[in-house]
Amino acid sequence: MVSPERFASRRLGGGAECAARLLVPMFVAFALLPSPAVAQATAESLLRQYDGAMGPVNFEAKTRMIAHRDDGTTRDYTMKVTKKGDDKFRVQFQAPSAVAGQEMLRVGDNLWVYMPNLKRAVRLANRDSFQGGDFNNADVLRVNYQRDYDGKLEPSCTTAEAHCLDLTAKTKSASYDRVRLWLRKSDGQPIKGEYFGASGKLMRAAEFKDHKAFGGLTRPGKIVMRNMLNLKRFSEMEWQALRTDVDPPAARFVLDDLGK
Amino acid sequence: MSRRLASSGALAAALSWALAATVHAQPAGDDALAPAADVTVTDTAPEDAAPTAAAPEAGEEAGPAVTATVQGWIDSRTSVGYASVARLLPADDAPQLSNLSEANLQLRLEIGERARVYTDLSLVWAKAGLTYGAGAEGERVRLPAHDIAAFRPGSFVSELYGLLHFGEHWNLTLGKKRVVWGPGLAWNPTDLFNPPKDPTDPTQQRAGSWLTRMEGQFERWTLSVLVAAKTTRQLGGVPAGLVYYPDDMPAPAFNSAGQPMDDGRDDEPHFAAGARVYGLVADTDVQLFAFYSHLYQDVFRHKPRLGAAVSRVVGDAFVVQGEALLQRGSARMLFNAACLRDFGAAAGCASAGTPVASAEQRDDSGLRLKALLGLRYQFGEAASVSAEYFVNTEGYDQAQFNALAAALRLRRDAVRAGLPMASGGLPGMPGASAGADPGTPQKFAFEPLRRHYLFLSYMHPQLADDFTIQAVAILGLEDLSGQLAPQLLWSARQWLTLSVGAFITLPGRASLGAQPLLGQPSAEGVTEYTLQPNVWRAFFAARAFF
Repeated sequence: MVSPERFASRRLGGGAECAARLLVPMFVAFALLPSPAVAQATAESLLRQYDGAMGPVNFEAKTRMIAHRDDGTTRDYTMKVTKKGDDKFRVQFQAPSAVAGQEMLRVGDNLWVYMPNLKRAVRLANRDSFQGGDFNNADVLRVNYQRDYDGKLEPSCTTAEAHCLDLTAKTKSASYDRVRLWLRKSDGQPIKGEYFGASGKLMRAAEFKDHKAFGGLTRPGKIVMRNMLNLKRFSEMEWQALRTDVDPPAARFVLDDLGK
Repeated sequence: MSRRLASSGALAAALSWALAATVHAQPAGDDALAPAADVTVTDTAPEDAAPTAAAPEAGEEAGPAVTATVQGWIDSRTSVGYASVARLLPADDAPQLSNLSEANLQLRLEIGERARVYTDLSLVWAKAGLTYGAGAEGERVRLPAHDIAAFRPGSFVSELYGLLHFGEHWNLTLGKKRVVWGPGLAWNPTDLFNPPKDPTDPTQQRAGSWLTRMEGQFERWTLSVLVAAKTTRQLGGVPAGLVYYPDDMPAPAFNSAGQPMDDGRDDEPHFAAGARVYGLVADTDVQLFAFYSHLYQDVFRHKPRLGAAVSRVVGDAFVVQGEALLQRGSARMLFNAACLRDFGAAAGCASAGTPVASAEQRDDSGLRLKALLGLRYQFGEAASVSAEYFVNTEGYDQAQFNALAAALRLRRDAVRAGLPMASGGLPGMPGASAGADPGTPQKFAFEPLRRHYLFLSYMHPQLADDFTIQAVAILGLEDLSGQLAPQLLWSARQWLTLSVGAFITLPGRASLGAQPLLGQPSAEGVTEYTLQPNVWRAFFAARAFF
């Protein structure tokens, strides 16, 4: 079997052998890369890719969150998530009965929760855990890492399969002070995340699994978020259905629409 | 009678339409994300189905897709308590043992993308006993079992309305609905439409009022116009009279909570209207209100009022909120101290036709402010502590509060002396007015008699995952009396919540309280929260959701 170098040498002629020795490895390396975008991955392009997969401009999704607790029991929630543009999110809880009808709305840095028993919405600060699980409100309602974080590629944690991004919060509204994200070199999909508090302590760790296509969008179908302060606890978020071919009216993302 | 508002006629029509739509429901193929309802009356398309509407069969009439969601709970609350017979308000109807059980049903019909019908209905079974009263010498005596109006079984409609969207921005609500505009947590001075709030139970405020609301929702602002009708009579939770008193109403009339209705029986309309502009301005909720009411929940006639409210997050974890209402005049019932020194003075006023109590400041031009300013701090995972200060310039000053206490003392002494007295409280006292329409029975109704209050609340959910601790304190700042309501909730299962709690009267400082023996030295200083007989109550409740 003719090696690539020899093949190139034959095609280019003996005088070109030296050049072939330089070009062929480059060619091979290029051929192994899945796409030009990832081949020239920068922190900015990877963050853009992450946001594109995890928080497309507009979408409606049906999700299920299972919170695993210390005692081995679980709590199971079903919700509808709607996003419009960069800064409008709405979550409507559908099950269980004890929380059905609850809603959360985020517009920019503003967050409200609608309580059916109160028949009204109240403002929230951003840092609450999401329904007692291991996700933060902002993990679900604020997927815009390009806006919230400055990122750089971190060679020390880059692996053969994944780029490693080191993110530092650039707004007060970011849910974590520092984040490390691993994105597959093959397609830029996230596979792992680590989330740190202000002290540098590891607070949460996420696995992004079951990558699949929802219409034209490929993204993880499941995120497992582990509470690193209490290793018995973790929460799973499953994306059961997702549509990006929607343009929900802006009037659905106002305080007065909650509960309607 | 032509001028009479047909009781919920339009609502009945809306419901009929909704039910008809249910019968003609088509497969909901136009929503690939159809909610996983507990009860779904339509077939839902597979989740990956294309978002196209199902074509009707030939000859079959196409109708809107209808989805019904049913949820609710069964709740039982048993209370024990101690009521003092020495206090100025009678203890006769303050049972020391009671049970209140409620079956609640909430039905939500979604008719296509643009219409909703929602109901929040309850059946309540109540039983109370072990009541004590004062004997001729003021001694504590066990009373025979008797009917207690607040503990009658009944059915209650907390909400029942239809909502229709027009175009992208406008919607119309018709029916009974709770609409709260102000951001205050424990109290909303700008809430003129709903039944009185229970600040000690911030998670259970469900009852609304019968209203029509038109609302325009835009990206950063909302315009709302609302007209609410007073329920002048209702039977089994269903209004038999709105706006006007029905001519055929027998006396006495009771509302669904068993409280006597405002039996004015005039020929005037009883309504309130409000307009409100909401804007999200610089990350701040800003609201401006204009109200106009006529004999709705108070004695005001043709009364305009103005209000404003703001709410925003400050820093990482603080939420600040404020709301204010400004009006001329006062609906407060004032007591004539000259008539309340003793039985002789009261009899003299009666024979001279001098009223013992009147809303004499109702039509004056003095500005009155009701305002609330609050700060909430969120910490930990989801815990919060909040403090809200409420100023009520319509409240009693010390002399007026003395006169109120004197009226109550005279009434108490008259009852003990065996003189015939009308049942119920005095005008202006908690429980004396039914408001526009109460919903399900409340554990505690706040009616600010004085001018300065502090609400403190603490809530820590998710303690050991399934426990929630909460406590609410209402403190009257003039005499430091108040009400403390601690509660521990346990989500034993995702569908079951058990709770224990208490209502403890904080007696405050008697030296700062009212002197019911007007102009005479007395050791009987009475604070606002020691007017009422309940010293403490504790309860155990279980709620199963479905």
